[in-house]
Amino acid sequence: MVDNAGTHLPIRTWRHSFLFLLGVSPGFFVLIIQQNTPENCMKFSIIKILTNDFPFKAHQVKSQKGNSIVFNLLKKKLRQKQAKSFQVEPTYPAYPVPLSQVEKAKVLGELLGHSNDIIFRRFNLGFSSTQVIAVFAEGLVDVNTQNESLFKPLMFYEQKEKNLDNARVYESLKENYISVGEIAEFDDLFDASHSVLSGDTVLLMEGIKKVLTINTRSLPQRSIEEPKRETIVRGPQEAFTELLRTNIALLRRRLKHPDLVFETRRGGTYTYTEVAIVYLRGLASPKIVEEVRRRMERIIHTDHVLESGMVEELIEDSPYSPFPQIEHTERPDKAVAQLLEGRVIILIDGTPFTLIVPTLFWQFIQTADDYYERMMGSFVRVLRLIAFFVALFLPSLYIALTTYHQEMIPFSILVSINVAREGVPFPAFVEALIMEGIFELLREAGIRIPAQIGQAVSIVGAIILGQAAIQAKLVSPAMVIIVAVTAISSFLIPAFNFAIALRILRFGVMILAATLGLFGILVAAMFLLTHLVSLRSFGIPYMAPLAPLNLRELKDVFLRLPKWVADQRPSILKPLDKIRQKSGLKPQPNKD
Amino acid sequence: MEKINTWQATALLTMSIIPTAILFPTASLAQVSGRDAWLAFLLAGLLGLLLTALIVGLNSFYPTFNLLQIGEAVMGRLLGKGFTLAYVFFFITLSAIVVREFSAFMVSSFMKFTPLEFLSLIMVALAMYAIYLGLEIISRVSEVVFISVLFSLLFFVLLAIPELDFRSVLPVLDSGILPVIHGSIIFFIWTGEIFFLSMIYPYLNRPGQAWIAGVIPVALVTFFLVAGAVITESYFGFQFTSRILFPLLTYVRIIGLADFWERIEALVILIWVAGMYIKISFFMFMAVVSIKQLFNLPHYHFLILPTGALVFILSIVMFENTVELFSFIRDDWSVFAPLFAFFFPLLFFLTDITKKIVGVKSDHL
Repeated sequence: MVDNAGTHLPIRTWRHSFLFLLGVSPGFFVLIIQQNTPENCMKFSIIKILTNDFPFKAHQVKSQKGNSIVFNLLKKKLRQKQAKSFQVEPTYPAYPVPLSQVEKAKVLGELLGHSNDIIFRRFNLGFSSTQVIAVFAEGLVDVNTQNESLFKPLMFYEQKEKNLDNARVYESLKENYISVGEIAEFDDLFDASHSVLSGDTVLLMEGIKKVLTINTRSLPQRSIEEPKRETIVRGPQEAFTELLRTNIALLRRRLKHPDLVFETRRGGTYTYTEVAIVYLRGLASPKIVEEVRRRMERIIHTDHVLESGMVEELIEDSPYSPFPQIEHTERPDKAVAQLLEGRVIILIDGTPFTLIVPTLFWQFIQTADDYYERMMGSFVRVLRLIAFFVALFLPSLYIALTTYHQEMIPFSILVSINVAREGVPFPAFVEALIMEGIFELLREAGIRIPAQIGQAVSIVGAIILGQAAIQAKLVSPAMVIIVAVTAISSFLIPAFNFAIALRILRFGVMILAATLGLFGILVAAMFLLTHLVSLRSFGIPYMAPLAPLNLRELKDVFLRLPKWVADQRPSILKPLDKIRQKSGLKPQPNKD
Repeated sequence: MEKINTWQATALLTMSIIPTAILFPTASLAQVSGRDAWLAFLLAGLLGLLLTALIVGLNSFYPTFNLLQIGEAVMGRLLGKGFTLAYVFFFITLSAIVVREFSAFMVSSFMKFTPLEFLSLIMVALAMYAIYLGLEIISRVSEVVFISVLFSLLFFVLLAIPELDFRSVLPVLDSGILPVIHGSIIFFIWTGEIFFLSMIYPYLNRPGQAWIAGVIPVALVTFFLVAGAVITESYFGFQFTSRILFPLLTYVRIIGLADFWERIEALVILIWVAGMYIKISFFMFMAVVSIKQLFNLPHYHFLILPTGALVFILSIVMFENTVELFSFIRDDWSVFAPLFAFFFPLLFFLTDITKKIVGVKSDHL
């Protein structure tokens, strides 16, 4: 390369300038072609250059007519789009409560579809002639409560004063006779029908334009059990259940603080599922809470909410990202810990899985165990982080090294790999693809089949596929080891939804490694890194506190430092109450 | 507007200088300055600090403007747009050179059978994705990459310590001061890149700390290059160094770990590629921003594709081979770069000062 500086410098400089211009001019053609797309307003600037309007007034371009028209159009379009996506709340027809008893029963009966499990019980108030109708759904009501606190006092009702009108009787019933804690009044029969379907008893009374609903709910539920997905060695063994009330109680029991707020709303035009937004009022950032409220508006417009995953898809930030941006848990203790960091919990009736927002990347490789064991136990986190990289990159590394960069493998290892690969007909990439594919098949089979025949699958997987494939020289033992290590590593990731992302991405990285070698892996890594740092969960950077870096808060990322070190809450969540505990709690021997 | 903090700016600027700086100038400077290459690096580092002072001073008058906007405000609309146009050419050419440097290096030392165009294409595509996501994202990626690059570089400097021979750089100034100045002018291509600080100045969330983001990258680059010069001179001597294409890579190649792992340079190259990704993204980002500034456009997203295509084409047609690339950087670009990095900002600064003294008011956009 060494030629003396400047031997034919002038010529080369001219040629470079020429090439430079040559290169630039097609580029501007590209620019001009490009501006035909409707979304830009480059056109106007180009025209301005051509019509000599440029550059004297170029600084005013923003305020000039041409551009402002384009902008206004764009804005208008955007607004229309937004308006389309956020329609007005679905309106239900109004059913005002009629005066006549017969009319009421008729309308309510129609609303409830004359279904056979809805019971209209007619009885007389005390020994008077005032007729009352109790409407309730069979099986959803607690019969004892109903009999003791509702029917008994009403049927043995004794009118103390004579000649009371129905309104006065109704008031006295409400205030003195119905011995149930939670009652409510509706003046619309549509609302009343919903409370009948939730297990309440609705009282209809002649001549009153209101209906009274009494909480007599006794919903079918299972008992509180151990968490199935998030098992831990040490710590509370209670899991959320399907019933929202129980879940709220589980949270309240752990967090006896007046600041704990449950904001309930209903979503799903058919399922009418109750959903609770839970946060600590004096702690969680109001901005985040407001954002959660705003996004939860969306569930009103869907027709059913059966699982928290359905809500998750409606409120997450980047729906096309392979990485989950909202964590879910079935552990009340974990939910409480997250509330105390300033996060918001979303409880959904009918599922034990609750959502935690905002979620950071690191939460997916952390478990409740890390905080319950002593600090030394949190070294597992480093292990999980390694497992993350192994699960994502190990098969690709094997492909890249054995295919392209054999010189990087130490000689002795290279020999044993090549001896093992002798007679295998496929290139490393195809071999890896086959084995990873088979493993994915086995894994999926293992999840779906009943436990009784689960053993059969593992026998088929381990003996027939693994052993026989090697003996038939279809795959090399080295590849089986690689796949097994990858599989174990991906099981190390505590969050299942996060591991799914790794499973998918692994194949992409393998293809890149097979085409570009180590460089391909690096391209994949850089792409993923760029994608990850660009993600946000409810406006909070996903990769915080690594990027943007906050050295002080890295103490709870790779390792968990002891509890007395963590005297502040994560600042990235902007909690109102920053201090977790006073500093200087470190245990020390008494000075005396 | 997206904001970045001082640490992110530091990482970004360091990563926009270091990746090519550790590879390309070592041989050229050994060729030009001989034994005193390390002195030339040091001198260029001092020049870089001077430039940082100039840029921070200039930008402190216009905290919400980048260099091009300052140019337009200070020099008047007509002349200012002329400067902006020049900077558009400068940034596009610079991006093309860096893309070519990247693919030339990859082909010559790592992937001998891969077409150079393919590597350029992948890198430009990746960079376009990063630009699409914005400066904040590029700087967050650079934070992560910065740490790994810094530690790996330190690791290799530490590995070299037992073999260091400081007598190899003696005698100092054997052939006079002129070769040192010549060398420092060449290396000023890299330390002069600190003027990018002015391009990201409006994005800083604490403009008062901008000088940190200027001084630390220059200091780091100078430190590693001086260390590199001493290392290569102790290992190879300056005459041999001047004949190797990538002396520091050759040094890494002869390192073995624990008598077991011999060829670790592939890992180094991977980390280098990560750095290169930041560098290319950042350069192309500035090219896009300067085009946006030239036409006073409200946003730049539709400029990414044509600029990327332009950079890709230029990176291929501008040079016939790596030798030409090298001599172009050494002989031609070392004249262009100081013009844009140093003299234009200086001109803006002096004009602004003069205007302030005379009492003419600059146009604020």
